[in-house]
Amino acid sequence: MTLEIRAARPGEEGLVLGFIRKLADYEKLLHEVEATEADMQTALFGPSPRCCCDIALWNGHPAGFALWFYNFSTFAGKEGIYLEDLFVETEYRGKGIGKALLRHLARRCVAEGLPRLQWWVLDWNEPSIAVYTSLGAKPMDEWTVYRVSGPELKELAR
Amino acid sequence: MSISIRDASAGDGAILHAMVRELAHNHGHETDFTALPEDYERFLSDAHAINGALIGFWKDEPAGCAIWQRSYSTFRGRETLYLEDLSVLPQFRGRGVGTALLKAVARFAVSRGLPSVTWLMMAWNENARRVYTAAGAEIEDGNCLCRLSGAALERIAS
Repeated sequence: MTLEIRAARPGEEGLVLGFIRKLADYEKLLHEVEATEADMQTALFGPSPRCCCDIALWNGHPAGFALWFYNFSTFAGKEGIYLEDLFVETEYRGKGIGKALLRHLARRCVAEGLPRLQWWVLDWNEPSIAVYTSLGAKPMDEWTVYRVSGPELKELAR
Repeated sequence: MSISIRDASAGDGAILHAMVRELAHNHGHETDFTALPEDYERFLSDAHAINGALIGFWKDEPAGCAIWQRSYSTFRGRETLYLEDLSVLPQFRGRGVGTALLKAVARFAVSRGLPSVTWLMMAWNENARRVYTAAGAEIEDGNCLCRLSGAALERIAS
């Protein structure tokens, strides 16, 4: 049994999009996914990449992924890592793959001198919250998320 | 017009730093605020920075700021805008500076072809909630932000 974590490679945008769709399905949000393989190709491997992606391989089989990008904390005055998506395939759960992906990112933070690794979790997702809490992550539940988009964004932009 | 907005540029680090420090104090996060003015100068003078800022003036006096970051939504397959901080100095509150800054951020997002602007708000901040709701923002329920930092980050990384 071997676990390997490595950066996604050009040509794997279909694999990455598949993970994104499965994660959305788990979150009951599949209807919100508009991303295409071409979008992921541009975001990950285009001339000006917006995101980074790590793939976890269990005995050589793609088992999960972490998609992330850099952010900046104006309180700390330093860059950090924002984890957009973390997902492990159903049949590979319970093997510590999710924790290994988080550890991989935590190591990158420490190696690069970044003070924070942040991500979102849906409040009903108890199994994930239990894992995150066991790792020492703190839920910042006094924060409320706002978003303006679509016609409201255009209206506000006037 | 008493309110004007402009892009922050090199040399504005001290003003932005003072405004975000005020925000941190107002939110009871003094101890988390360790940034220095030079940390802000660093991104203001970097043409490839992932973040930037707008400054709001009341009759030519700096009154508030909005600090944004580039972000990405894997569900949309699109780059999005994340609003890290929106701060109005206490003596300038209640004059529409915050709304003007939010509108300027929305215009900036639309001009870049970005589909949404997202931000966080403290759950107790009723004044901010009124401003944001009036601007057409939706509150995304059921999310919870997690953060690994300090000793917990070092521990998982080891």
